Amino acid sequence: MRIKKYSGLLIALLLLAIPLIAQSNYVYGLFIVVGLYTIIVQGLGILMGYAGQVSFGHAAFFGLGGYTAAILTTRFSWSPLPALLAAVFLPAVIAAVIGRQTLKLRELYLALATLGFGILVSIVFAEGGELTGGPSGISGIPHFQIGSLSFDSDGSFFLLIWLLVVMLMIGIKNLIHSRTGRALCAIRESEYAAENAGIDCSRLKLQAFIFSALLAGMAGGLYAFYVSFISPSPFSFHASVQFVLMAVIGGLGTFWGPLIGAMVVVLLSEVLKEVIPLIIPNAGGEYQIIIYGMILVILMIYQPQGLSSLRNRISLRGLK
Amino acid sequence: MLKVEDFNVSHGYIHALKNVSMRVKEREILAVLGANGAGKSTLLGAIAGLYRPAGGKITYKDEVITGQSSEEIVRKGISLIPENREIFGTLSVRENLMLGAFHRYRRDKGHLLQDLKEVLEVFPALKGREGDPAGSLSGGLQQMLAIGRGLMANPRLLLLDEPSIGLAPLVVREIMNILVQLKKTGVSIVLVEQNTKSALKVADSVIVLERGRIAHAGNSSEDIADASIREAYLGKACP
Repeated sequence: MRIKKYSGLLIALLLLAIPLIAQSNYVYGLFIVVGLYTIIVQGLGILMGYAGQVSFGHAAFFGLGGYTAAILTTRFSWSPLPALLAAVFLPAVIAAVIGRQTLKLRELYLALATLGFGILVSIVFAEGGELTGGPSGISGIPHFQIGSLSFDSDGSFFLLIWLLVVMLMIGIKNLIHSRTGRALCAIRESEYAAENAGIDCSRLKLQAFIFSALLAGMAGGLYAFYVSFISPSPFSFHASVQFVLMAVIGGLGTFWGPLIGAMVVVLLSEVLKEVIPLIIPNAGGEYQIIIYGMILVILMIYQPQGLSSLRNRISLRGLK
Repeated sequence: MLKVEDFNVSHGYIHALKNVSMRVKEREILAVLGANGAGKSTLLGAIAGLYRPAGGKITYKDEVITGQSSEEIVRKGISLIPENREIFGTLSVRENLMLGAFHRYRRDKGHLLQDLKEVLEVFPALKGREGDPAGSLSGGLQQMLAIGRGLMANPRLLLLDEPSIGLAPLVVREIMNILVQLKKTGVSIVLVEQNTKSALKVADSVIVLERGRIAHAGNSSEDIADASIREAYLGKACP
């Protein structure tokens, strides 16, 4: 029983030990991306898995964070820390403004409204002239630093990101077991009944939306400092779909789901890149995409509740 | 206690409630009867603040509550138990009950556990199932849980929408007995029912809605005795 309780934590620690043992910039890079996506999907998980609202526009918040950090540091010579704070704040403010209207919509309509917002923002990034650098983007973004502490190596940035992920997960664990977390679940189960129970559904949904945008903005800001160059392409509609995919594959409304989803989606494509040429020599990139898609479809057919619920299935089988 | 005057509600082009007026007294069970689409659930939803009125006034304990949000109305002591229970299936029985007291956390935090205990005394069948997912309960237990969740809001007026729907006769009888017990503790009840027989057994007064209008209002025992009312509104099967 105790092993089951801590199995998720043990697996996560073992996986995180890989880059520390490998000491390779490539592996660090992969795990930094997983960490950044985990931050975004944690927020999206609260919005989708707990409050039951779908967003296909989170790449826009991710991009807004990235561009805010990039513009403030390169064009206005801000230091990285206040620029990161602005990268967190701006998407949250925009989410508060648009969420007030869009969250009145339900299901497909909300998905379409957030999709439209995402497309609109990506056009602004591409057509923003000198401010956003247009399709060429912005280069020369400095490394992240707090005072004299600079995160200029992949190893130090890896530690920073995963420290944030761990802190965030502790916070989310507390949130989902709190009165607010239960109220969010109630909204997901039945908004009508939640209103009857005296829950201010509009306010809570808006708070969940702002929280998720804030996290996406933070990930975007950190991403800009990590890659030191940004362009509109990582913040396109495709990225929004990928975030939703990570949330669903990991398991909506589960604690480990966002981490598992981000890890599987990022690492799977990298593993396929290495494995497919070994099985099918001279295979082109299209084989990777086809097999990647097939694996995701199979996962959704056999594990529709997400991979994090596999743990319960395995332990139930063990009991039989 | 509750006064509804010339109340009108429209759902788009459909005029669901037309100049409805009614009163609920302290410690009274008022049965609202009528066919499907008569406007019974709309009436409860409108009192609970779920629908904006097109006209008219609702007064609760001498305060006009027309147009207030459902959250404010729950705070004032009016609790709606919706049709089909609408329990939170993936949450535990205990979590469901505690969510009923969502608005009381800050104000009454110290009393919540005591209230939870009292609700479980009212519904002993839920005892021992507090940790179970609410979705795993039988229909009867889910209905009890839905009423229990409503009671956790500490209401003085309970609005019940078709509590007998889909339940076995024995369970319906048990739930109706519980409503009578609740009335004795000082809770007034507006009971929307299609099961006229069960509703009239426990109701002190009755209104019959027909296409959004009040077609009849009266004392329930008199209505049972009056053959013409029985035939016109309540069905021949009614005792």
